[in-house]
Amino acid sequence: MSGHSEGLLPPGFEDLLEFVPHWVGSTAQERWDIRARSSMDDIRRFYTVMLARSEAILAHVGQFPLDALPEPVLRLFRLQLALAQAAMAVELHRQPRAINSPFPHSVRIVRTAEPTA
Amino acid sequence: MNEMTELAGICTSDLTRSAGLGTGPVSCEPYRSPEYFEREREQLFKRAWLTVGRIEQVPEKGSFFTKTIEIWNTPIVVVRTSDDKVQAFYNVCPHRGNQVVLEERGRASRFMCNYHNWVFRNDGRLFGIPDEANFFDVDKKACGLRPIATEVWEGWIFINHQAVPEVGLTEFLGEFGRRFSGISWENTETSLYFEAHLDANWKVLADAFSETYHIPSIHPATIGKTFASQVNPHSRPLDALFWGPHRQFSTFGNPEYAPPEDAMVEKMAYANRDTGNVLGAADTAGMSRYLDHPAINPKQSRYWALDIAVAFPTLHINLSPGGFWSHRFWPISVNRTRWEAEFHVPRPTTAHECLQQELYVARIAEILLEDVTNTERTQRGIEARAFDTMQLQDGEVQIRHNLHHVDRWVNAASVSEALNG
Repeated sequence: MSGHSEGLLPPGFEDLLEFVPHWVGSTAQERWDIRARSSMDDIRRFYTVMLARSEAILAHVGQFPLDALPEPVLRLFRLQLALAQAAMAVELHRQPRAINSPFPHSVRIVRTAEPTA
Repeated sequence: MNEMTELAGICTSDLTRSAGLGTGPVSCEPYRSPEYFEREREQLFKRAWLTVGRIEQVPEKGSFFTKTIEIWNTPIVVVRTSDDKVQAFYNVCPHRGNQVVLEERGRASRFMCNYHNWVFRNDGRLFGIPDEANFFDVDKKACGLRPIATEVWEGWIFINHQAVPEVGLTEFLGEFGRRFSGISWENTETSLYFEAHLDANWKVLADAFSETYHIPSIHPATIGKTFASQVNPHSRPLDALFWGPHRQFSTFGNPEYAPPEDAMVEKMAYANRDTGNVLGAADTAGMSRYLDHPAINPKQSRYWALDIAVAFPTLHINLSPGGFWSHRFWPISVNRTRWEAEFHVPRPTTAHECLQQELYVARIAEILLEDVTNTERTQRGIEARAFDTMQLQDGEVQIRHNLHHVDRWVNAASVSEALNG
């Protein structure tokens, strides 16, 4: 990783830096859209790596109040939340998007109860 | 016991005839005829009570939200007034017709039209006209915001286009309203909100959420296995009940459902779950009061998945073990609809709960996508005029019931006649 990516994620999570440019979305709608536009190979690689790191991520994020996550922790948390989207492709559809569903489409996740959104 | 006999013990049969409905094919015209749509506009949507939201959207005195009621061609503002009354108004300035409130939501004791700064109290009364002396005897009492008939039932805000509604909300909802009152609605303060504009008639949208026959085929990966099983492979409903134009539909759930072995994220997220319900992001601790209500799971079936309670014409309240959600269908034209879905959930308080809820959101989004985008294909098929009728089976009784009552409203000379036949 080049120098400018230092500090993007908390120390100890440098192995996930490669996912930051593509997989960090600030809302559920953005994360849904990112996954829908990703290739199955990218989704699978992200899923596999993130699944193995989830326990450590949740433990790390859990040290901070959710409504005041420092920027690198928030970024890490958003990577973690993107795993839920990757799981739809890997565990349910076995392809990036729902079978027989058009893309793009007009369905929007307008609002969630996510405190960091 | 063979499987058909077992199924008969679980699912009530002959729902359609029991409801006094016919069993023949139904006409496609109400889904594609512009003339029929115009009659729906005037006879149904300008006479029936329509749900615009919940009172939690106006939590404090002065809280308001705006909305466009497309079928009325009308922008509205819904306010909790300073004297604590929930009231809808035409969001229209009596001066020259500009929209007064431009924000989507907020809190205010007064509203000012940005065109010429006319000011209104939040109960609609005109407060002040700049340079009033240069007008010609303006009747200030007649120049408040024009109110819209508004009533609240169980926290749901209903409006009626008739200046003096022929029938009040209590009479309109009738036995349905009594049966579903007193529910301990959970997580009313926070919700997931979905919206889409679809090229389909509003009834095609409503129909998509009115039967479970489609679930094993449209939702094979997302929920196919939670709403069907070996004993009920085609997801027949448990029961259906009808009160005038309103109704309840109890759906079947597979009590043996467990996440597949390789669903690692689902397993991790729900490692500590106690809902027993893959659809639910909430835990059951706070749910028992809500679930104890006699209107919910009326057969007390162990195969119960959820109830769909329909306040005709456009509010579907879904009551599940994990909480409640609603679908609202807003007709725009004969083949254009705005659809809203709102799922009431607790606000997550830990990182783990956030992940659980994100998984819940992601899964719902997939299910809804499968449902609502299919409606555009259905509409195209109906408009192709390859057929003049559609075939409905007993599990699709809600669709038949809805069509029957829509037709009554569009033909009835009065609301009382529409309701009582």
